[in-house]
Amino acid sequence: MTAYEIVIIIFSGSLIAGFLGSLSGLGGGLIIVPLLVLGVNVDIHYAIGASLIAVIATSTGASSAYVREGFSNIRVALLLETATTIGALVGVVIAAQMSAPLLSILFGTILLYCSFASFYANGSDDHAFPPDKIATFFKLNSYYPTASGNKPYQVQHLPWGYLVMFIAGGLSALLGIGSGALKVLALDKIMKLPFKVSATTSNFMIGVTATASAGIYLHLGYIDPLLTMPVVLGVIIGSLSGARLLPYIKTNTLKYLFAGLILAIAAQMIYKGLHGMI
Amino acid sequence: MKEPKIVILETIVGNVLRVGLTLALVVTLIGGVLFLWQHGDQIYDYHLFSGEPFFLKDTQVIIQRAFQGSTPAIIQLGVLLLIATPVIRVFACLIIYLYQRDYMYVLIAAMVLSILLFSLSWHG
Repeated sequence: MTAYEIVIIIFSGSLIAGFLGSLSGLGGGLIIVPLLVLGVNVDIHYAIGASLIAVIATSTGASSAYVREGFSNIRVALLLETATTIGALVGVVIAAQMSAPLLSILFGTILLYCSFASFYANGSDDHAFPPDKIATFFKLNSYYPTASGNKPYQVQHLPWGYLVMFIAGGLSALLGIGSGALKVLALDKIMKLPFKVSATTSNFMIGVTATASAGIYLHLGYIDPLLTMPVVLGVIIGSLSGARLLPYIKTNTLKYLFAGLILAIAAQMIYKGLHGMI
Repeated sequence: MKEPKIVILETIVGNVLRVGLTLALVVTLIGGVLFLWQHGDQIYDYHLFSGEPFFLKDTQVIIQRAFQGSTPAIIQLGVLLLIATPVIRVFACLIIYLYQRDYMYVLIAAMVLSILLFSLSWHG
C-alpha cells in the first residue's frame, strides 16, 4: 500500500474507534491493534506500539479536564502506579519474547473478557465499610463531591487491588491497551472506591502506565511514525467528539453494538492466531 | 478544604497537560502532512517486524533530526512530547506532596517517576 492509502485507512478507522470507545466507555485502544493487524496487515508489535501512544493521548486529554474536579484519588493512583509501571516493564520483556500468533490469541481472549465485563459495570453507591488498617496506614481514605456535599469513603483490600493492578500494567504493555476495564475492576469492585472516583483515577493511571512501556518500545523501534501519526490523531479527534455528543446519545444501545463488534473482532484474532495467519 | 496554593498548582498542572497535548498533536500533524507530501506515493509494507532505524528510536537523535527537518523525526518528536506529559503530571504530584510535607507520598511519587525515567532513558 502507498503511504497515502495507509494513512487514510488507519485515520478513518481510528476516528471511529475513538468515537465508539469514548461513547461506550470501553476506550478506543481495544480495537486499534485489530484494526492495524486485520485491516492493514501490520505486524502486531508495530500495532501495539502505535496503540500505546494513542492510549497516552486520550488519557492525557481526559485527565487535563478532570484535574480540578476533586474526583480522582491521587494517592491511590500513585501508590498503585508503582504496581502498574513495574507490571508494564515485565510486560515489555514478555512481549519481546512472544510470537505474533500467540500475542494475537492472548489479545482475542482479553477482548472477550472486556466485551462481557462491559455488561456488568457500575458499582453500587453504598460505601459504608469500616476503615481498613493498611489503607489507613497509606492515608488512602478520602471523600468525593456529591449533590449533598462531600461524602467520605473507606478504601478496602489494598493488597488484592495491588496485585490486579500489577497484572493490568503487564497486559497494557503486552497488548498496547489502556487496561481500563481491569483497572476499574480493581478500584471499584475490589477496593470499593465510588464509581466516579474509580473512573477518573483509572484514567490518570492509564496514561502513566502506558508511558512506562512506551519509552522502552520507542527505543526498541516498535513505534513507526507513519502508523502512529494517523492512529493518534484519529483516536483523539474521535474520542473528543464522542465526549461532546455523549449527553445526546443513548449509550446503552451503543454499548451493546460495540460489545458485539468487539466479540466479532476477538473471534477473528483468536482464529487467525490459532491458524498462524497473523 | 484544599489550600489555595494547591488549587493554583492543580490549575497550572491542568494547563500544562492541555498545552503539552496540543503541542504534541500539532507537531505530529505537521510532521505527518510534510511526510505525506514527500513520500505519499511510496509503497510501505509492515507485515514483517524489522524495527525502526536508529534515528527514529534514540531520543537525542530524534530531536536533532527533527530540527534538521527530517519529517519522520518530526512525527517522533510529537510522540516524545506526548510521552512527556504523564511524566510532568507525576513530577507535579511530587512537588505538591513535598509542599504538603507528606514524605511518604514524596517517596512513592519519586518511585513512579524513576520507573518512568528509567523507561525513557533505556538503551538497547
